[in-house]
Amino acid sequence: MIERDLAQLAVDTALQRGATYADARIIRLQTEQLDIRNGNVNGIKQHLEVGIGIRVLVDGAWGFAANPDLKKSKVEIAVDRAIALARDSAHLYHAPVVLARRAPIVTVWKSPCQIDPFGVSLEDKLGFLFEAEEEMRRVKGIAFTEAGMDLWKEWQLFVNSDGSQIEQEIVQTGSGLSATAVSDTDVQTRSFPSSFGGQFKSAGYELIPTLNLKDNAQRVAEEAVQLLTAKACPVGEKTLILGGSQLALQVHESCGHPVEFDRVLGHEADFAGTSFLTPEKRNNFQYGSEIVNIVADATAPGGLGSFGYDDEGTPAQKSDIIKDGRFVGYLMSRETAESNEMESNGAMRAQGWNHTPIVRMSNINLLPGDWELQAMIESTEDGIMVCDNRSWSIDDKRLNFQFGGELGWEIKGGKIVGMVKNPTYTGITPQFWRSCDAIANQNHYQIWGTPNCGKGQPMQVARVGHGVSYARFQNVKVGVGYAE
Amino acid sequence: MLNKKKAQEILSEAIRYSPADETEVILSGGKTFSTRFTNNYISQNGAQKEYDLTVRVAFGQQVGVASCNLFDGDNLKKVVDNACNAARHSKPDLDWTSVLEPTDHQEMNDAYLQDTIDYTPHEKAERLAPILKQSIDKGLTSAGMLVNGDQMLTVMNSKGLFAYQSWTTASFTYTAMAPNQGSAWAEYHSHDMAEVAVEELAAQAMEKALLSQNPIAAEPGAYTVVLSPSAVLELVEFLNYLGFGGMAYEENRTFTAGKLGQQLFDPRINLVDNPFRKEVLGPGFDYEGHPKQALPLIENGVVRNLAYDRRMANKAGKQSTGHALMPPATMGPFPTQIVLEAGEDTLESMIASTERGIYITRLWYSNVVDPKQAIITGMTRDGTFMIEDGKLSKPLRNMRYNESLLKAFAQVEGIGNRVYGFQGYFGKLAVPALKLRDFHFTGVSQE
Repeated sequence: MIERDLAQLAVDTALQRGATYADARIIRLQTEQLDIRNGNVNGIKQHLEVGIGIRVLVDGAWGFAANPDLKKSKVEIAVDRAIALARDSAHLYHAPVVLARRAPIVTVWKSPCQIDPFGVSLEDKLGFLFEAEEEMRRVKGIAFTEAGMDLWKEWQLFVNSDGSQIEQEIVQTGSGLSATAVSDTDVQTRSFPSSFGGQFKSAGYELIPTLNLKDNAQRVAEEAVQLLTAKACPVGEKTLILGGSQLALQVHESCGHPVEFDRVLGHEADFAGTSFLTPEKRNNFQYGSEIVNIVADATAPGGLGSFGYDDEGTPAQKSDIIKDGRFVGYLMSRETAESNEMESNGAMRAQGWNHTPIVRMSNINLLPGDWELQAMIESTEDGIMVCDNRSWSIDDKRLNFQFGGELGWEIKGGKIVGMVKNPTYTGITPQFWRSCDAIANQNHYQIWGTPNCGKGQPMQVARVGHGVSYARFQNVKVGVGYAE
Repeated sequence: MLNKKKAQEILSEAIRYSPADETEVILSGGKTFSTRFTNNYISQNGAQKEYDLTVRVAFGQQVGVASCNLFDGDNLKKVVDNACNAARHSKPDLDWTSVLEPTDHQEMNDAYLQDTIDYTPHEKAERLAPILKQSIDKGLTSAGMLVNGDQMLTVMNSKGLFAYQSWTTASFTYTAMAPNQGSAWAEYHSHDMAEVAVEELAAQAMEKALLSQNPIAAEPGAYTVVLSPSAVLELVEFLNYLGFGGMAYEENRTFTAGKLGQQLFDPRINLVDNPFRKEVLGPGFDYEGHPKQALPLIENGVVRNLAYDRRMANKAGKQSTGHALMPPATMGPFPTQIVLEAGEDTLESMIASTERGIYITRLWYSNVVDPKQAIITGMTRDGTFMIEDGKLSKPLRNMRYNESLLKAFAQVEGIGNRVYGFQGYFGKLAVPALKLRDFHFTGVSQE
């Protein structure tokens, strides 16, 4: 049975057996991860999987069943299981689930991809990594070096009982490298283009050469060695400049998560937490300074959170989250939007075929301002610029955070005066964003990929994006973490 | 559940397709039935079934790995081909050592409980109904998840090694939220649903949630802390991650590097990796099929052993301890079933003996600040209380901690007399409650 017929069969069977709404997602996923270390292959792993996830609404309650077996008989069993689960759920609810209306869509959507990464030979991919990684190994004092590549292609067919049939293919690629220097008392790592695996985008293999790993390899390794003897990050209240993937993660943790409407409604209370951005604050709360504008934009080219349609068939959208510093919008699904008499902005996503969709970030982007980075530095009297994340932590309402970077640059009198190690900073989300007094312009802007966002029970990992340039914050506590 | 016979058939077929010098095949996975509740009703009810087959092949020292979730002939051939293709294009892995010779494994026949896997969603809904009603009656909001399922791990290699283990899982996590920022937490994890005292756990959390309303901000600083097992879990997980992986140790990255045999912790601290302990029950072999046995990591405060797989053992001139992770295991080996041994105190006695301190229900979102000094940071969550004159005196807002694990486990004032099992990042952990002195808080969560 072809997949389209199978998905339609699942939906039709669910309706015949009592569902008032049903959707089915059939997914084929292909991934490849290459890791090299100290001139050796540390791991080459290729992965293939298929499966179907069926979500049904019966008597106003949800049921979900997933199965890797696409035989007709197995799909029917999965439908029956989902129906039974929904009926069990329906014993215990306050009010039936109502979905915001959505017109049916029949379409095919593909993410931009010039070169299929799975059509490139392993030799070429490994050759690219080895060439860059070798540059790092030439630097004296390095303990070990790593380089990696992550390739991902997901084909999905979504069919629902509203009449939607949406076929999507999304290709994402990423690569990065790191060098680590070790002493008896210290471990220091520098990475490029970002820590924890590098930069990831929704693109084909054409992205990989543009990451310029080899050109940056020697510098990265030299910085790792220098960090061992660099001075410690100063302690106190300073001006803080963040850029690149560190600012991306700041946006992710302190804006992206608290605007997930399912968290606000308590759906994540037992795991990921809730949110300080409660409904009465929408349109009435100064989240940041007036120059802070943040959007959720699944239409942005190249983001890991870019798609044509979310996992309940809502078209990708761009919507305001923070407008002129004011909190104005949430990330919503059809269910959570309807509960507040709003419309879904297409934020329902699932990890693969075997998880039910939940509210997720797409690309949560801090829009560029009008500053040049150099001007930002020159107008900083006493500050630290933190590069590339090393550590992140935030409370369950997304208020109190602490981040650590791989490297800090100390700024005195408008000039960078030296490198500092173990830079850390802490703050309270709205106080921090209200202190933002400069955001760099479009020339410094790019979307960073975060391929490892955990949420949900059972836990799901999502691939999301964050467009940022550089931003400056005043009176931030830095040098925290070494309390006596 | 894929039984032993079926698993053996699939793995044998995969090995038959392999032209490699050596082949190792791993089949793992199982079923999960999760009933999730939110705002006092069931919000998500799911059934998932997922198995993965991983093939590792070696041509000489050229190694490749591939995996898939399809096990029919064509797909098995394809995944073997993919692994071979990866290996042929790989450079030799100079640390690779041959796959393991056939060896005996201790299979646990009582780890798979039919009553636990047969526990139906309907039974779970019936079990939760009175708790959610009670929650509504008390003016509370409940969220959580009641889960049952099964798991299996099978390893076979081209030298004839075969190891199989299946086990069931049952867990309950529960958050009770009270008006005025009150919240509390309870959890229990086991392989036996009969052990999961859902009603008792929920009742305790509801009571604590009501006590936790209107929290005040405590001044940051050093406090004596009494940590429930859920809070201790996070500290032990990072102690393991930063201290006991063989690859990180050999690269001088751990806080234990060069300190084997040294007394780093309080003499009452004993940490062991042991898959046969009930609270951390799991396969008695690793992903290379290497048998496990109890491995003391810390004995009477002294660092004794680290975890090795065959590759790292070969590189370091040591023996594998049976701690290989799923190939390609790029992070190296880690302990996966660890127990921080119980002491002689009760949670109540540790609170009663505290003149002034802080009680912590759980820690949240902890992360590494400095790996060599074993400094981590994180937040308290779902029930933080000031202790004054031996009693929980007032609820506190959540607090940020920054602390060295080296100091924390050297400054032990008390150890609970029972360990509780948890699911962790690398595997399972079982820990008791702890009382520590001079635990550092550096901030408070408030707008």
